[in-house]
Amino acid sequence: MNAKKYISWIVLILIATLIPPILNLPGSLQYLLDLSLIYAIVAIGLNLLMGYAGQISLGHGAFLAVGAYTSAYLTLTLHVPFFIALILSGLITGIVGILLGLPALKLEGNYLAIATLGFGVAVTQIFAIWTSFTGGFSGIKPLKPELFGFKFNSYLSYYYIILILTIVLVILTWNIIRTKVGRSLMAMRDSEIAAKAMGINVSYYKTLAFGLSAFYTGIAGSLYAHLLGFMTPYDYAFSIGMSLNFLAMIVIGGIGTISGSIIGAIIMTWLPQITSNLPIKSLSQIITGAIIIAVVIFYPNGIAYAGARLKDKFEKLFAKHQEKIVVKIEK
Amino acid sequence: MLLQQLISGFATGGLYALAALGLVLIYKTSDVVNFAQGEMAMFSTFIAYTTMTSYGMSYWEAFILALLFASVLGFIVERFFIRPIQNAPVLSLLIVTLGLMMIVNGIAGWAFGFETHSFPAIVGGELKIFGAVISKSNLLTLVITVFIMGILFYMLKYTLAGIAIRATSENPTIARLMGIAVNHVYSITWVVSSILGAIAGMFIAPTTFLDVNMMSSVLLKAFTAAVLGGFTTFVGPVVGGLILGVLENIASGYISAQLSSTFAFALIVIMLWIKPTGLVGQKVGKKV
Amino acid sequence: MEHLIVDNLTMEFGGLKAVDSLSFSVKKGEIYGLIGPNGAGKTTVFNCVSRFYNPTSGRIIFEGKEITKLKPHEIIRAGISRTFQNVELFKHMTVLENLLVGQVAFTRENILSAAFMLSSVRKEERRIREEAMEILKILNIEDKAHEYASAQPYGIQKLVEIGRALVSQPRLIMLDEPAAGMNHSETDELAELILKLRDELGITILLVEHDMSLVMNICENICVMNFGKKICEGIPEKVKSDPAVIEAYLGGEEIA
Ligand SMILES: Nc1ncnc2c1ncn2[C@@H]1O[C@H](COP(=O)(O)OP(=O)(O)O)[C@@H](O)[C@H]1O
Ligand SMILES: [Mg+2]
Repeated sequence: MNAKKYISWIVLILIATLIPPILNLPGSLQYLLDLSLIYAIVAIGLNLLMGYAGQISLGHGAFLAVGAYTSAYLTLTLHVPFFIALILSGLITGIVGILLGLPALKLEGNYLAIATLGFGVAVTQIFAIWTSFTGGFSGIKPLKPELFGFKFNSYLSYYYIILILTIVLVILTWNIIRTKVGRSLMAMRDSEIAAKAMGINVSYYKTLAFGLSAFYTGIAGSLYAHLLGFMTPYDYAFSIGMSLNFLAMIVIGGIGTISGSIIGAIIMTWLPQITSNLPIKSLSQIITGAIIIAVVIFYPNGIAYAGARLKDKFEKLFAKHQEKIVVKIEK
Repeated sequence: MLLQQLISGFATGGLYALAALGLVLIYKTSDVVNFAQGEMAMFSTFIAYTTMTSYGMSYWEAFILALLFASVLGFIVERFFIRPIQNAPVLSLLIVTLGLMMIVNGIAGWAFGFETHSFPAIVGGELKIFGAVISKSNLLTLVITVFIMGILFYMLKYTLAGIAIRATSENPTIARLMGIAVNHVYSITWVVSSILGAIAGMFIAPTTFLDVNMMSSVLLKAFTAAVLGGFTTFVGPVVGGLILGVLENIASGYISAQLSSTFAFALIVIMLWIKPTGLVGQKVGKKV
Repeated sequence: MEHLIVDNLTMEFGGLKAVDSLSFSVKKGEIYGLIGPNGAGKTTVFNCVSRFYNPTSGRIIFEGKEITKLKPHEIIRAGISRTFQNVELFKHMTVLENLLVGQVAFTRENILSAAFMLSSVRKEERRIREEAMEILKILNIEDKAHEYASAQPYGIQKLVEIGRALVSQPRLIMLDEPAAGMNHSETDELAELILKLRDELGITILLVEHDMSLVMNICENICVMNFGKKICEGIPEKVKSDPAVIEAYLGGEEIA
């Protein structure tokens, strides 16, 4: 990573840290800010799977549910401390992801989309009737997180837990994608046969990608559970509709980029809020659909790298601009 | 009892088969799995409902009108959303149909609201055959489904358009070289597919009730039918649909109806695991 | 010493024998040519050695060990690496990253050590980067290191593929039509490169190529295939004058 990039990330983190107390947002908006970051974690996980490993998932809403209910169960019933429950939720969801990844080994493209869609629907159905675990229609009340005796009661205080976790996960992800695992995933995405010839165990990495992606989503699920005061399996965040929104986040923000995942998540979390005052109830959904189609049609050779290419262009533009300035000064 | 189960199983299975045929028709010719098919069918069904309730049309007038609408919708979607990117990678095409799914669903919610309506069956009443009580609408649905499939297979086999469709599904490049207007074939398959979906939608609506989300589970069933039978032949989805319908009917005695999509998912996974090409599918070789 | 032995290899595709009871062997340090008209089955032989295809019958022995039961991803660790006829680069990765993928099978870092960027990982990353840059230098394309592979002209892409195959320090490298799409001077440079790989790095080379002058110039031994069968084997002079070979190529390329 070069210095410029470092600095821009640090500036971003500073902004993310300082903005909420400065703006002093009302609860409902601070809630959305918390939610944006939680969804950003999901989007990063989904991007690892789709953007880097080239696999498709239409079932991430279900992973979110698995993480959320695991965490709720661990803290409420087994009285496990929040942070341990958080990690365990990630791990258990990761295992579920590996299990889903196994049948996925034999599938590609459209078939994988169908299978993961089926998974998404199935998990919601199972959770709806598994009332001893989920509380069913009457729901459950996940506890507010507690650490060293401090209770994170407000959305603002909880925001910082989520922010720190997001930063940690972004760093870990960044390290993963620029080393062996990341290269293997991308190689497999670009040419499975060449990847095999280069010694990449494609089955292993596909399963790993599912597990890793589910791990992130499980962490986000745990955070989501403790953000909500009250949770039922019918929550929109667990539905296929939300799985499509997750997909839209990375398509809009940029498939195959971490920063794109975050930007996409923020846009997709606030879009419904912004359009909620307009008379057309489902407008945000219509807009989302239209945008992702536009992105694809605009980049017919595969949006998978549209984000990276666009960034490239900007950087080149910027570089040229700089050169010109240098030239001018020299003259 | 068994006859009763078989008939109602075949009736719903036939509808899954119709929807699945629509999916396979498109997939075989243009390699696109249309995730928006369910939503398009739902929209057409709403057109029928609205013309019946708000404009006082008869069932069959509304039915025909909905099919006309479905044809136009299928045509537009192919012409303006799919064709511009017909050579794009799978992921791009998939995202476009998912985007369409969101748009069509959103517009439906906006235009028709989010309430649940009851949709009339073709006929009411029951019939007794060999001591089994069979609903007339089930029987009629079955008859009509068989009739439509008959027409479809006749067309595929003997008409020029059908031959063009089959040629394109074998190899679009060669079909084009042989003078087949491949783009027309794409249009036709999308129109026919949309009509098949609409028919399935209008026949299923009486049992599932009509709302903007009615087709999401039907779409999954159509996928299941197509996966069971295989995406690679036209007979596959019919076989798959009928099997799914009957299995579902038998399983409903043992498994809660709330788990019917879970059941479908299990079937998908099992089938893809043991034979990804489906029961009547052929293996397509892949060259390195 | 026999480095690679293909023993009575047969590969059928639904009745079509793409490779039919083929036997030949390549000595260590040799440049061995595998030629024949289009569809003769040359690429299929590569794919059998790479384990992408499961031969219908026959054995493939490398350095005295049978490799016919290995998995495709285990072949590179056995010491064999390859290029593809229809360039199979990782399009959306840079040239350097493409080469680094060739190292994946030989690095010890795992997901946890990488996630936390332990110093061992840093060291290893630095080492493989340096090695990859060395190879780009040998290929004379080090200035392209940070450009996308797909943005390169065809000739360069072919070189990148060779580079990617070299990074794993193979003892045998299989090149599938490396000169296809190259002009004269590029082909000459390629010939030099191939000789250098053998002479300086000691790599055994199995070469499929349609450019006859290239094959005749650099190969010590040649096996000619037609319809999956071996029709002739031997030194270039022998192959050139063999009536069966001339027959097979009649109407096709002239043998220089
Ligand atoms: N995966 C496959 N499935 C079916 N046939 C194949 C496959 N791979 C190769 N073939 C056939 O095997 C024959 C030899 O092909 P190939 O090895 O590519 O020839 P060459 O490389 O000598 O030009 C051809 O007839 C080709 O069509
Ligand atoms: Mg070949």
